[in-house]
Amino acid sequence: MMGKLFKYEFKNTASKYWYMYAIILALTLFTKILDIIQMNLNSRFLNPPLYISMALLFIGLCFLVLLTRVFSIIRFYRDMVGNQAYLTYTLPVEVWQHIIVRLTVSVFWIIISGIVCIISVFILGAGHDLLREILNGLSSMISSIKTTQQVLFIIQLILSIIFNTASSLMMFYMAIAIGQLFNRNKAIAAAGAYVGCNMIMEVFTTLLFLLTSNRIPWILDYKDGFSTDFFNSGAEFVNSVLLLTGLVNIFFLVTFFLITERLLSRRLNIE
Amino acid sequence: MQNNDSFLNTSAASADIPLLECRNLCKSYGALPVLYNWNITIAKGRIVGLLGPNGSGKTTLIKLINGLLTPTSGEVLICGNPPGVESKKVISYLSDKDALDSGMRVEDTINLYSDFFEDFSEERMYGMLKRLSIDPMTKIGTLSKGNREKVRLILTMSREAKLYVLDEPIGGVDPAARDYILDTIIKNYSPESSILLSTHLISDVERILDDVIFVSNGQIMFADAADNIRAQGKSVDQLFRETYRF
Amino acid sequence: MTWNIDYDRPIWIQLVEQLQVALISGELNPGDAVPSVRDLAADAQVNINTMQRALAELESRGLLVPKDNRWRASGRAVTEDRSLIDEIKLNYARSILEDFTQKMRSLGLDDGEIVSKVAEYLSKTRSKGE
Repeated sequence: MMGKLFKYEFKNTASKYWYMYAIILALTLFTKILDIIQMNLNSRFLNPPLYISMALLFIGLCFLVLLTRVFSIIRFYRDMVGNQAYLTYTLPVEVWQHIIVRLTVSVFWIIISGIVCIISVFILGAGHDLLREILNGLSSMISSIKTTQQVLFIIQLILSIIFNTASSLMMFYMAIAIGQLFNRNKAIAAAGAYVGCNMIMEVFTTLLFLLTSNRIPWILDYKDGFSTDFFNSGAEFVNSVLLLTGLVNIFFLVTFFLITERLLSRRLNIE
Repeated sequence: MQNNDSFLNTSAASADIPLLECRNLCKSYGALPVLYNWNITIAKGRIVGLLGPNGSGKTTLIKLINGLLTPTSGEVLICGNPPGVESKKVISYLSDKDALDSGMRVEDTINLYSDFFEDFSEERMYGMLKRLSIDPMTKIGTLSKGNREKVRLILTMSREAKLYVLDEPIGGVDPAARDYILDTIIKNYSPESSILLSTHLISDVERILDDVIFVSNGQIMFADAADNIRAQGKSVDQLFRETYRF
Repeated sequence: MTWNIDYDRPIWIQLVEQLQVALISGELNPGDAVPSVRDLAADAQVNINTMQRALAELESRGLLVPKDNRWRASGRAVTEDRSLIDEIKLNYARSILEDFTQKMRSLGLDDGEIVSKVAEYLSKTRSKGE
């Protein structure tokens, strides 16, 4: 059953999102072409259209990332609490399956949108000095970590991003689940619930960091021990933050999921 | 008028689990009770009308059966199971609110139903579509209101479910569509399943009902077989009007 | 068949009556196979259980008999027993007569006038080749 849900959710979202990706692709290629022409001609003649194109692309990328997020939330609301709820809840599928499928597919698209941004930037930056410098900096940071654990670091980074996205999205879902308890103005109630939950989470996270800042475990070994080198201490800092936020995110993700599931299965209140 | 009427179908073999059973079912929104102490039993092979004015609790009961609401107290059981995945496999629900995706084609919706419901019969569905001369490739949003209601109905009736729950199936459609809908309901009758039909348009519907349940203000007023009512010289519609005289 | 259903009398009773009329009028002949419950119910636009009850009643009166069908396990057919059908016909005629006489008498006509009116009407309609 869940496999079928995945299939339908992917199909429906892909059919809505592909327009945006097509536009981004077109803009990127167009900008790059202008860029290449300008590099070869070495004149300032093409600067205005190039810059406009870049600006458009930038706006487009922002829209892509933003809209993906917004759509995920709106879809969840519509499917679980709004107009499509009747259909959703008559399918012989458990509530937790609905939530997991939607969460996974949404996280997938959000991450894809992020990757597309990075790819776009790389395409544009190819052949320019700025890109080379950024890449150098990144590889320095990574090589400051003991070689055998570099992969671990990268994995940790990726997982952090995934869980961070998932838990923040899950908080929206939970707010929607809380909002539907109200008989009127479910959407406004959801928004209010979101603000409330956000505040609670911020307080919680701040307290947590204050309490543990002195006792963060190091899980990676550094070549030269704790050094004063910028890249080393940078890596250590990033590592510890990632670890802690990762754990906190997982905790929140699970908690929000359980609350949402409980609300939508036991205390469902569809108009 | 009694408000705790138990309604037993005499055709039921006592060993069979009833298709639908409500025991002391209550639902309140905060302090406002919408359903009070409902006891209903529906055996298989019956077409039951849930009749009452708007706001009497009919739609609330239907939502409780389908798991869209949870009871405040009491229970609702479908083939012995509370609302959940198991009950949803055997209930085919036609909501009064149109929940179809306007952007999808009829065919896509059929594939969806076919995928998720094992008891969905594509053969029956396409057969009925053909007789209605509706092209499966049409987008749902472009169908006329009457056709849209018909498509929703035949999607519901193309399943070989145990309990069909139809919420106001003939509201808002022209008389020809109404006849079609009622005939489709009769034709898809099976002695192994039952149909719960909720409406406030009694006279159009009474000819197909085995049994009727009158509800008002969240309470069951009365329940009996339709022909028993007629044996007393009144049509169901007449009795209904007298009961709810304003 | 054309069906005429009122909703203020039990429907199954009306179905029994109208099926009997079909039997005695010759629309259904002795020995004919009767359409399935489903088809009859759809034709009359009534609930299948209601039609089932009507057919069961006719079966208990001996007017319909079970018949093995090539396709259906349980079908029904009109009885071959013409005497039964004739009896129904007579009963029906009697009730029409009762009804007629009652109505004519309530108009104030005496028995002699009733008889002569009937004879008059019969000869008139016969000459018109009815």
